[in-house]
Amino acid sequence: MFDPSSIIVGLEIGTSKVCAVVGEMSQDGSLNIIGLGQSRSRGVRKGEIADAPAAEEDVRQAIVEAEQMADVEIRSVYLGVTGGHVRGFNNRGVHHIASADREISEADVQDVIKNAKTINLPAQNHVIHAIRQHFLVDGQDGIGNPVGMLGSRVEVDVHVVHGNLNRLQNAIRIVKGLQLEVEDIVYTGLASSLALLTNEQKELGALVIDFGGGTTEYVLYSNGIIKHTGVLAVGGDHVSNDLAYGLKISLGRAERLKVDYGNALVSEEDKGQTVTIASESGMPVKVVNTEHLRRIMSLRLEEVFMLIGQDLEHAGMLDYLRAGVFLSGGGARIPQVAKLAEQVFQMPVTIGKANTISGLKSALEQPEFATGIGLVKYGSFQQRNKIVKRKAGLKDKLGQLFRGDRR
Amino acid sequence: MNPQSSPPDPQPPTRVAFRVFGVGNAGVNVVEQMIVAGLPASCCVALNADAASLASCSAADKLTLESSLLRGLGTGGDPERGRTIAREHSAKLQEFCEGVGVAFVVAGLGGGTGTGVTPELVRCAKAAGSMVIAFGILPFECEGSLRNQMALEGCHELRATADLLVSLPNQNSLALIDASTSLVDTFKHTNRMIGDLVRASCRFLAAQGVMGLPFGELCTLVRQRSAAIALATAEAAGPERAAEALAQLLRHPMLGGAETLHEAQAAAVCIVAGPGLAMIEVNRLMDEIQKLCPGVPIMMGAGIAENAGETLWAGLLVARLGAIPAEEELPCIARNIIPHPRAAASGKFEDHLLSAEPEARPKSRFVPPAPSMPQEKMEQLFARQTAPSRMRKAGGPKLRQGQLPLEIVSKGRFEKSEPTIHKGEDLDVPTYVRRGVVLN
Repeated sequence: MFDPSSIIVGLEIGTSKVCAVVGEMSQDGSLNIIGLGQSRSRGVRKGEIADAPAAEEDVRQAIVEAEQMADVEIRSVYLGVTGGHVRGFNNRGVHHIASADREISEADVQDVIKNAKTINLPAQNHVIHAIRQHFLVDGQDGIGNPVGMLGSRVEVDVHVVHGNLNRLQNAIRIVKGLQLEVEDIVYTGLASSLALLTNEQKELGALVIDFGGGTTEYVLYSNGIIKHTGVLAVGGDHVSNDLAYGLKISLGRAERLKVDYGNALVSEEDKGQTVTIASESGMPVKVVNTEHLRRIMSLRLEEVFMLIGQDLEHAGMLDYLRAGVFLSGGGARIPQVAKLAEQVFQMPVTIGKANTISGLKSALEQPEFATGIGLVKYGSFQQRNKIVKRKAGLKDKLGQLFRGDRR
Repeated sequence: MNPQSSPPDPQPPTRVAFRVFGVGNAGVNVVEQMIVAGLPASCCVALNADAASLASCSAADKLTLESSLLRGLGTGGDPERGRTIAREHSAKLQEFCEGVGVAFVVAGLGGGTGTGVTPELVRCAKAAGSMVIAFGILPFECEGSLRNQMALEGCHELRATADLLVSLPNQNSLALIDASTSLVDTFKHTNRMIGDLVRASCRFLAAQGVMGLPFGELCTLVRQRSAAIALATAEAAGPERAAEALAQLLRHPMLGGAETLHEAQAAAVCIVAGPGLAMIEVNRLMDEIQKLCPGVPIMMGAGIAENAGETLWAGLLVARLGAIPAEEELPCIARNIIPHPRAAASGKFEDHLLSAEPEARPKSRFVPPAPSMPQEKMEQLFARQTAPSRMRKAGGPKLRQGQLPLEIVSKGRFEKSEPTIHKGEDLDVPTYVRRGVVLN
């Protein structure tokens, strides 16, 4: 039962919080969230490590909390990575079938995928993911598995997510410094989308926007595959900073005002309304106009959605979203943010919930834990592959042994 | 209007070296006028594409902006040509700016040389490390809408490049003249007045500050709230010199009347006099101005000029919003959201489900609409595109490098992290600042 491989931990070192989610994979492969640890993050700016010692301390705290809650020992984690340097693009690989009968074999498929993953990137860039999309056989599109088909030429599209190696290493080093193993690094946008979307929604076409503290990630699915990813190094921190600048208050107060009185839309009732900021001793310090507060927030949020919209329009993907837009991350908690997004994208927008796995209700309902849960889910896929491979490996070996015996 | 006296002119002090640049016909004329009034010719530079106008100017440094492109015909009112030749001469322009602390650039906007060359000159001066105060002379209204439109565009560009842009509408100088004043005299009056303004600015910067007016802070204050900046100066002597100076300031044609102060967003006052300057005088002047524009941030500076004698000089800088009406019509890059017709009209999102008539689908939600521009501008652009001129083909860069607006906005929490630049916009700067949304 307590085979270490059945415990999967997702760790996200975010700009506003560090969060570790512990999942348990049962024998039949189903996933259950059993623990959650989090701590305030102090060493991260715009999704990237800015103060390593502080970040390390925060990670330790989150891991310890998760260990206590789940009552397990954490040895390895799936680490979420993001930052303004992370980019995604589509690449295509081609392979000609050499065999006489023109039947596509497993080896051909492996070859074509290998070709697609050969990408000309600068040396300092590291490929985080190369996600397989659809195959094309002799120009025929949308083939899930071409093995056994006849054709002379097989092509495959992969979606490549890459980032700056040194900046990715920063996060990895912190985790390694705590004597934890990093099983794999995962782009956090991908993780969030795994937690939020059902297969049906991926099939219909959906956009996941993870509005985090320092960065906003977005991932677009169409026909069940990832078509487009992107990171915008703008997040909730920017909203607070705008408020601090515009209302001339400290960042801490701006943060609190944002949470208490923030709204993504400016309504008629806000006109002339004011909020009084009180000091610790209860004395009124400053009176802030609610309309200004909401106008500043609304403009920033609207701009983020507009920039994402422009990027998708540029990629020609905006009309493939039939399931609509799903919001996650701390930004999804802003009142009426879905309505604002609806106005910008002009399609249904929902606050995403990690409905696809079972476990702690309190963890699954929160939009800001979507990434952590998604990391666990990603981990479970990897683990399943490993188990399958291990089994296959054993069989092969036995087979060889027997064959060798016969020989 | 200032009397044609010759006050002791500020010698270029060792602290702040300054130079006055006259660009184009109007700029050269103003510089010439200032030299006549007593400014040392050595701190003047005249730049023009027209060699004849430069020949009659007595500035120490002169540069004829000539190239094979122009064939001695001047820029022909095309700012693009002005820009091209200014780039050709950029090494020479930078040489002029070497070691200059403050560069005053005087130019008549609306023509080819003034509008095209000035921004390039400002850029060169900035590259050489100088502070730049630009004086943009706007054309008379009777000079036609085309010229006015060009002048506004020039203003827009200058505001982005220079530290401070003072706009001087020629139209305001009509207050100086009566029905019998000849055209030549009108220009003389105007040039003299502008010359006085520039010289006064030199004086304010040169005077020994007792209560200093930090220039950088002034620029920040004004930039945040500026659309148009007006400058008025006054000079008075005698026992009632403070009251007299105030009256002169408020009468000053470039201020456009005392009402301007009511709509001011920010103001700065500078007072310079001899060592006998009394606190009570400063106080009286400031009191009156503060009364005229209550609740507006006002910066104040007072300086002592040893050679001033009994004279008191006062300067008033007023930043206003939306004083130039056409300014707001210029296409704004960031403001490209098209509100959804239904959502905008009804306010309730579900309403559109009930409305029966189908509406045309908006073409694209994320592509900015074509910038709206007046008819003349469209015709001008069209003419430029359809008539391929030989000069254009002969060479000269057609691409214009985009420029980030030079905003001095604190980035707070993101001061030290890598800036998030997206398509030339710094996303760390609050959105409402970049879009120019005003919170009242």
